[in-house]
Amino acid sequence: MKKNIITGCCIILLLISGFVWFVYNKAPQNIQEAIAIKVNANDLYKTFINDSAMARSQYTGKVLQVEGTITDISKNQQAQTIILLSAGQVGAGINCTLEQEPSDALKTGQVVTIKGYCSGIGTGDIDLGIPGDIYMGRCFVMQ
Amino acid sequence: MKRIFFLIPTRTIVMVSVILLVSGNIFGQKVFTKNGNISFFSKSPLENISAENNQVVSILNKQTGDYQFSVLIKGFHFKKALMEEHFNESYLESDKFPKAVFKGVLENIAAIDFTKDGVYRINVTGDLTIHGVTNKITAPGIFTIKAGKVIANSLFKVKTADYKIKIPTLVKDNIAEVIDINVSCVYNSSI
Repeated sequence: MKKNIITGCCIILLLISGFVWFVYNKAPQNIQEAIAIKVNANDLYKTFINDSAMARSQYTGKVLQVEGTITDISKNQQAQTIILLSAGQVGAGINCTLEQEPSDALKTGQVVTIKGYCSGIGTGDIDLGIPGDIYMGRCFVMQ
Repeated sequence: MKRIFFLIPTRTIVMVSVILLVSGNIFGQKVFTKNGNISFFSKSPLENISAENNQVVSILNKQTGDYQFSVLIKGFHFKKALMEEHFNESYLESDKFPKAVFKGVLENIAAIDFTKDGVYRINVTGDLTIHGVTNKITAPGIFTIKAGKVIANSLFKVKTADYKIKIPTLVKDNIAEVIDINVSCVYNSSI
């Protein structure tokens, strides 16, 4: 009887340790498989400008699927591709850092749908006339 | 043609020349990036933690030396989901304090010759705001001028306690009290 209790306790301890280890080492959210909020680039930007509180609760920290027109393609210091989607505002856009290179070549003027994690709207400078971008990270171009 | 030129008063010609010269200096004096990089590193006996953010907005005024950068806290990405969750929800409280901001000035902007390639070690002093707390800091900066482009790098340390970032006792040994911050920006746009 005592032996069974000890064995049971050991199994429970092992299960708890395994669960803790799994939770602690869990990889970040898989963006490709995550359920996303679908939104148009212009509407997304407008919401952040017109109702920042609502935009923060609705979009910041969430996985979004944004459709828009490419206005610029560049590389950052980590050689990741940055795609800027037009947001109907001169000098600003939806700034998307790709997690992996798209299988098809992209070009400016092309309409694409990008899925990624929204970090919010960046700081602009009104005096300098630099409006803030809306940032998306860990992005994928939808096929 | 010669006659038309003589019709314009000398004073007007001088004024136009001065305006053109001044505007030439003003235009392009501010360089900026919207995709700079900030990473941080915490070294402790139990584990090393690092995170990257490629969404840094930074502006440098080449004439006055005014320098600023701003970063969205939710833009920091970790290797482990739980770390990212704790970082945002418990430590940095990113819903309440969504950005970290630095506003300062280069100590000796006149030392930099932006017209030719070179490397300059210049301190940057200013106010760093993290977690809603502002502290004055001085950080060593390396400013590189390469083919007309400005590249800035800075490595400095931040004490979590100085910014009222509370680390629970349970994970105290997992997170360093002093965090290494590395800022790296390539300024590819100007106004």
